[in-house]
Order: sequence, then structure tokens, then C-alpha cells
Amino acid sequence: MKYRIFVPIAIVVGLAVFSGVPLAQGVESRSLLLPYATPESFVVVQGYDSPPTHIKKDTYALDFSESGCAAYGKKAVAVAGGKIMLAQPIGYNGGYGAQILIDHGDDTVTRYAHLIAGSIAVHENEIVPEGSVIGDIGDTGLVAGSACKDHPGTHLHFARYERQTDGTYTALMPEPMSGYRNLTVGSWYPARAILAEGDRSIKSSVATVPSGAAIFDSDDAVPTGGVVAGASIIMPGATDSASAVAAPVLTVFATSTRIVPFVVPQIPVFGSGGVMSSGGGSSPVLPVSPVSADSYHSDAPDTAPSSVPLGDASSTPSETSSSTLPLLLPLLAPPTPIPGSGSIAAFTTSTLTIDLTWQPPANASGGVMYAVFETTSTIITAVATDSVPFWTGTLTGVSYPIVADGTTHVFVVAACDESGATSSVTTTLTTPNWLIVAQPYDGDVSYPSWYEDTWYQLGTGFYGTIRSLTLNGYVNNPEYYASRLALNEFLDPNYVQLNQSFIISDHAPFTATSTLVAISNLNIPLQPNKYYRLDTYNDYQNRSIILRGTAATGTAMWDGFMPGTGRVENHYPFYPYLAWTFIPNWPPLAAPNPPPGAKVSFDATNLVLDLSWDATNDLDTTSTLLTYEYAVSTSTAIDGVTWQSVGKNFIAQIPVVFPDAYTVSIRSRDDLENVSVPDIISWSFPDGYVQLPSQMSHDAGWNGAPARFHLGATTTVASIGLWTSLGDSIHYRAGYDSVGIYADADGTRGDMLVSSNFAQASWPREMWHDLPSPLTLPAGDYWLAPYAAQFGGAAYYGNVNGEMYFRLRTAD
Amino acid sequence: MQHPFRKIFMGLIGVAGIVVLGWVAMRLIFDEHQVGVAPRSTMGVAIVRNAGGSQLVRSDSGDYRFTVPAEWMVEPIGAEGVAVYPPDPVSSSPRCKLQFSVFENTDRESLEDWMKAHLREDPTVAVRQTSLEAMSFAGSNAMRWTGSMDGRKIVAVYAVRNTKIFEIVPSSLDPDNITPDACMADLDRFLRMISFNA
Repeated sequence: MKYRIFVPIAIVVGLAVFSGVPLAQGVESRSLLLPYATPESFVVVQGYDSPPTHIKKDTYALDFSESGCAAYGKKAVAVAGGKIMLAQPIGYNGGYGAQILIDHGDDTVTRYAHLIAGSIAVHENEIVPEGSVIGDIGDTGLVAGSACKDHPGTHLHFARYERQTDGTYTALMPEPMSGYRNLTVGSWYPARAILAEGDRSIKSSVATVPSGAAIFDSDDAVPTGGVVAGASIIMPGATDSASAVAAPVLTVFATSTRIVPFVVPQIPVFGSGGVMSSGGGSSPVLPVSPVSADSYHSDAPDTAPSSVPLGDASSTPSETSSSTLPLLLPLLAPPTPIPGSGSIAAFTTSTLTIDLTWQPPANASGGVMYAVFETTSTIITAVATDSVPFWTGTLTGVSYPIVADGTTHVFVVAACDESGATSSVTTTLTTPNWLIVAQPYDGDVSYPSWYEDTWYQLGTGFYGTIRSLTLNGYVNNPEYYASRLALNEFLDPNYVQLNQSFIISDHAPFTATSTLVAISNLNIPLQPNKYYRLDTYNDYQNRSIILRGTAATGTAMWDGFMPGTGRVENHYPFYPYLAWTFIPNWPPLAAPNPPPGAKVSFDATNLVLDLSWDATNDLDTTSTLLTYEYAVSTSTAIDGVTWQSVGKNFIAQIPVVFPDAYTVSIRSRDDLENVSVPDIISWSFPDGYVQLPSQMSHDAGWNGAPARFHLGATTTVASIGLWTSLGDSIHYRAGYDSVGIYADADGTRGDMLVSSNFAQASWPREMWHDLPSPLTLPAGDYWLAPYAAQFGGAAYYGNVNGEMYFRLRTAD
Repeated sequence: MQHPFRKIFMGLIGVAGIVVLGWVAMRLIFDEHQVGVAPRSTMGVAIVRNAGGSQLVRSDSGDYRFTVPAEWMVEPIGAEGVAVYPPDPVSSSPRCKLQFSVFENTDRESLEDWMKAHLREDPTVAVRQTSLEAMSFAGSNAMRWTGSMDGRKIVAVYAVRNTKIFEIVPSSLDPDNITPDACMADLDRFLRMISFNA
């Protein structure tokens, strides 16, 4: 049996180990670093449990800074190795500003906040070793103070959290940090590094540090298993006399570091036809004798894995069979379910994911690496020979996106510890063929706002029919008891473009007490790329209430006079539970017919093409399942164009720019993503069309330069129009200014032919001034320019804070 | 045959000339105090001090610009972001900070969807919304979000323009009162100053 090893991943993992990345570490057993680099020394300016910001989960937060602006731009470093969980390079971010969260793999997370925007040197999911630079200390977000004039409030906000099983985070004491305890406001703490097991890259640099340094004798900093070797050294610059604490030192611990890198776990292989351990729910009991196939299984080489050439089948461990399983040492227990969960797999209907979570093997030696495979078979050989892991890492969980289609999935989680011992566990899970879009009210009142609502969106490729709905909720206002219940289908994720409405009940089955109502015999077809919302209406003053379901809670809203839009005047708690069953595999459709030749008209004022066409006659389905798309190109080729959907509409408005010629394509699409052959229309601007200079001035003042334009035919101008981008917000100096049409004089502005006075205190968004009498202009070039009589006709520097566009209107 | 010292002397003159030219060039590039010329260009934001002392702030990309009074402090932050600090009318020292950040929205996600995702990006933060008000400024659709994060009151204005989303958040610099309430007037005033590119 071939023992399959995945060379590239193993190499990456091996390199990570040798570069000092702690793939798995007992954070509690070792000191964290201070969050800034040597040889810096920072003072604590806000300590633990200090309102208004260092409270609740930030109770154990620390704010570090230096005198004046000295801290600005200094490097923030990771206090321990881990994975970048969140990197927000810009923004306010709840007051944290530019910030980083690092997941250290043991349910602890650290935060580094108020960094300089754009300075973040890492990206999400990146593995960073302890002490690596992650960003520059700054002043973004909610900061206070005036010590630094140019960058007020500069400091580094550092906090450590512990992730709870419910997904929330609680404060966690970060000490000791670089060996320091009892960090207090006003004290300075020079950064210093502490070597620990696995930090080989730091260890290799020790040889360059001079000997004879003072020994840091705090036993707080001794990591588990570490031994003080007496090789402590003083880091450069760390003897700053300004420091209020002991001179910073680098304490070196001799280690018994294993030189065996992790290998990507393999699925232990049995003989042909063998079956892996299943269920994943068995407790990890160490066997002392040959194990049976339905228990967990270990497959550890008796030599260090580093001696095994990766990918070399000849050096793989000996095969085992289900009938004769030799005892292999060390045996590794399989990953096990989280206590109380019973299984390592759970399907989440609200996010359509399978969440795989497990506990490390009970008897792991050092860190553990995991690999997760998926197969549709429980036969191990199929997995071992044909599959590659879809995820590897040191975390004890992964979410796997999936659809709710009633199919069965088999997941294998394989583990490998630092000694090279491996084990695995298999779990089987069948997704439901129904979806829950809203869970029952769970008592969480933290998010009562409608903004928290998350609507379920059917993904591409989903075709089905709702056959039943289960609703559980109440409406605490009798006025709305008799509401009509409907499932509305929208074309856009903002729930603005209502496509169609499926009436479910003439009377919403809710009362003042929570009631579970099952509605059956429905026949509501669902389409891909549509958005659905459960609404209720009543006819009282044309108002409506809208019921919205979320994963946690929902809200019934009284939405003013316009259902679905408008300002929320009031809202009532409502907690719907919505589930549906559907029939998959909507019958496939033939490609729809192309839409008939589109008609086009040109709106010269707005430079828009109005396209319209007739409904496609598709014999294979109802027209309600068809949508239309268009694409615009300035080339005659339509390959690579971007198609824009207009839903079920038969019209499209396409902005055009003078003097380009366009190729406009229209096609139809059905609900199985079949698309028609497009209709292609060529269009260009009509002869004699006049495109005026579009932007006379767009800077601080109206000092726009004259602009030349061309008349393709004799044109009689009746009025000059002015359009501003800011409308009434313009503060305009009254009394001076006009817009003039000038003759062309060999490519320069010639004599003024006519002008129109636009001087007034403020300008509306659009206004037109008629000329004293229509002016007939032969075809040719002309100029349009601002005219200021009091400055001798030159443009002047005004106070126009917006953009201006000018247009000419011809006589009827 | 030239004297060896002549070569050394000419070499020194050449080096001195390069230094002088370099100094002049650096002054032309970095001196932002000259009125109306040589805008300071820092990380994608240009700040030009107008003749009356007011400061024109303009992103190098041309996506936005605004003019703030002379007494407001302006701090470029990030590629296109900027923080402005209106002064306290009594002490004349900065009282509030208005942080202006520019996010890419190349997918042209709707503002509401973008906000919904953005405000919940940090899984450690408890977000509570108290109001969401549609508004418009500088000719763009915008939303004023009021709520709290981890119990701290936050007011944020978001506007969308082409492929950019702009975030403006006021905050107090007073460590004894970090609520943004005292900065609302400054926020409204600042919003009226902003204009976006078409």
C-alpha cells in the first residue's frame, strides 16, 4: 500500500518549524513578549481595569507610549507566534483604528490597536512568529490626550483575550510579558526577548551576542521545561538609565528542542477494504495491546519522520491490516469531539457550513498538526490514495462551506504530533434538504436593531421549491394581528427591486404570544441570485410591518408609509423561525430565444441611450423565470464584455460619451443559467450633435479656462444652461459673472458673441438663462468661457466649491 | 600636466554643486509653506494653504477634496486618509478629531451591505446599532450610523462614490469625556466642506 505524503505542504510546515514559528504552543506556560521591539522602552500610560476604555473584555488592556511623539512610528511586534486573525489597515474600527488581532492557536487572541493607517505589515491568515514586526504605532481611532501635538493621542493599545465556547471573548491577563509582572501606570518597561522551546531562529542569533552579561533571575519567565543556561545577555541599548525597572536582559534558556519537524498527517492506512474509525465520539483511551479497526488507530514510524524522505514511498512505515494490527509506539489517540458536542461535525444552516471542531489527541507529544480530508466513501483506501487534504494547520477546527442538498459527506481528520505519530478520526454527516433561515429567539437581546438582520440569499445554482414554512413568533401590537404574510422576491440585495410576491397567508398567524405555525401545501419556486424576504402587510393607513429573520433574532418593524424603505419610526420585537423544504433539480430548460431586435432612442440632454425590447418567447418555462442582460463596448467585438443584468425589465439606460461609437448587446438568461445568442446593435452619435465642454472648473475657484467646442451643423442657440454638482451649497460671489460664447480665432478664443449673466448669491443644481434673442451659429468651432466684466473680461478667482457644467439649448 | 591638487579641487567643487542642487530640489519638493505652490504631498494627500490661510486638502487620486479653516490641524493618515482637528474655541487646542478614511469598493457593493460587513469585521466587538439614517452630502448617497461598540457610543458617516467608500468618524480628544457628542457640530460642519470627484 502506498503511503501518500504531500511534499509541498510538508516542506512548508517544516520550514515554518525551523524558522521559529510555534505551530502549536502552550501559551500559558511561557512568557509573552512586550508588544514593541528591542531596544525600545515604553511607559504604561493606561493600565488595567481603568475606565472608560479598559473595562469589560479590555479590562487587562495596556496602553504603551513614550514621551511626546517619540512612540509614533515605532514598531509593534507580536507578543507570541500565531495567525493573523484580523488586519484592518485603515478605518476607525470601533475606536481601535488600524489594528491587528492575532490568534495564538490556544483560544487566546491579542490585539494591537491605533497603528498608523497603512503601516500594517502582515495580512490575514498569515502565520507570524513571536517578535515579528506587524505594524507601526500611531494614533488612529479613539485616542485622547495632547502630549503629542502632531499626532495627538499616539500610543499602542495592547490587550489579550480568551475565546469562549460561545464565540465571545473575555479579558485575559497578559503577564508575564518579557518576564515583567505587575505592569503599572507610569513605569517604563524596556523590551527584551526570551528564548523558548522552538524559537530556533532567535537561538541561532545568540552566538553573536557578547558574553558576560547580567543574568535575569526572575523565575517567572522560565518556560515549562526550560532550564536557565546561564547564557543571559544584555541587549543593545537596553541599559538606558531612564528605565525605571531593572536593566533589560535577554534570558536564554537551554532547551531540549526536538529536531523533528511536523509532517503533514496522513490518514492511517489499513489493508484493502479496511474501515476507518468512525463516529468521532469515542473517548481517547490509550490501548496497551493491538487495537481493533473500530477503535482509533495509530501509525507512527519508529524513526524520526525527518529521516523519511517526503514523498518517497520506499521509506513509508510498514503497512498494517485490519486483521493483524501490531502495536506501534508511540500510539496517538485520535482527535476527539469537544466535550458535550458528541461529534466533531455540525452543519450550520444559517451559514451553510459544516463546522469541524475537535480536541487535540490526549497523548500528543508536543504540538499537533492536522489535515482534513473529505470523501464520499467510508472506505479508507479511496481516501488514502486519491484524496488530498483540503485543509491543514494547527488549529482545532475548520469551517467547510457546503450546500444543503441532502447528501452525505465523510470527513477525515488526521493528526500528527511532533514525534511523528499519527492518528485519525472519521465523521459522517448528512446535510438536510431544508434550510433554517431564522432561528427561534434565543434570549439574546444584545442586537435588537434591524440592522443586525441577515437575510438568507440563495446562491447560484440553487433551484427548488418551498413546500412548507414553519414560523414561530409573536407581534406584540394587536393592530397587526391580521396582517397578510408574503414571501417577497427581490432582484437586489437591498430589497428595493421587488420582482414578485408570493402570498402565503391572508392573515399572519401571529398573536401576542409566541406561536409555532406550520404552513404546508406551498409551491414557491426559488431562483438563484434572488433575494427573499418574509413580509407582512396590513391595510391600516397603508402601513406595513416587516418581519425579518436572523441567525439569532429578528425584528418586526413598522416601516412608515413605504414598505421596505423609509425611516424606521418604531419597531416591535418579532422572532420568526423560518424553514423550508424544497425539491432539488428543477427541470433543465432549453436555451431561451434571443430577444427581438432592440429599439433605441437617444436622450441628448442626459447622454443616455434608452433601450427597449420585447419579452423573450421561451417555450420551456414561464416568462417569470427569464431575465435580461446587456453589455456595452466601444469595440465591435463583444468578447470579454461585462454583462449587466436588468432583471425582468425590458429596458436599459446606457450612458454614452461623445464622440465614441458603441456596440450594445442584449441577451436573455433563464433560471438554469442558459443564455441566448445576443442581439447586437451599433450606435453612434447623430450627425451635427454638439458636445459642450463638460467641466469648466473643478478646483477651488471658478477660474476655469475657456473651452472649445464644435458645432457639426448650423445651430440656433436659445439659452445657456448651468448645472452644478453641489447645488445650493455653493457660496457664490454675486454681481460679476457671466458665461459667454466666443468665436474661434485660429484655435484661440476670439470675440465674444453673446453672454448670459449667472450672478446670484447661490446656484441651484440646474438653471437656464434665455438669451436676449436666439443666436444662430454656423457649423464650426466656438469657445465657451466665463466672463467677468469687472476684471476686464478675464476669469477671476471666485469661491465656487463644486463642479460646473454648461449646456446650450437650441431654439425649438 | 595638471597639478594633482587641481583634480582634487575640481572634484570638491563638483560635489558641492551636486549638494546645492540637491538641496534646492528638496526645498522645491517639500516646502509646503509657500502659498499656492508646491503642495505638500504625504502618502497620497496634498495639503495646500490658500492665500487666506485656509487649507485645501485633496487626495492625489482626486477622489475628494475639502477646505478647512486655517486654525484646524490636518494630519494625513494612510494612503488617502486624513484626520482633521477642529480647535476648542476657548483654548484653541484640538478638541475633537474627525477621522476620514477611504476604503476601496471595487466590487461596488451597496453601501448598506458594505457597512454591515465592515461594522462586524471584528469578531471580538459587540456591536449595537441605535439608528441608521440615510442622508446625502457632496452629492453622494450616505448613511449616518449611530450605535455602540463594546458599549462605547460611536457616530459614523459613510458615503459611497464610484469605487470608493468614505468613512468619517468624530471622536473626542478629552480623556475625561470620550463620547463624540461634543463633536457633532464639527462633524456637520466638516461634511459641508467635502466634495467628491464625479
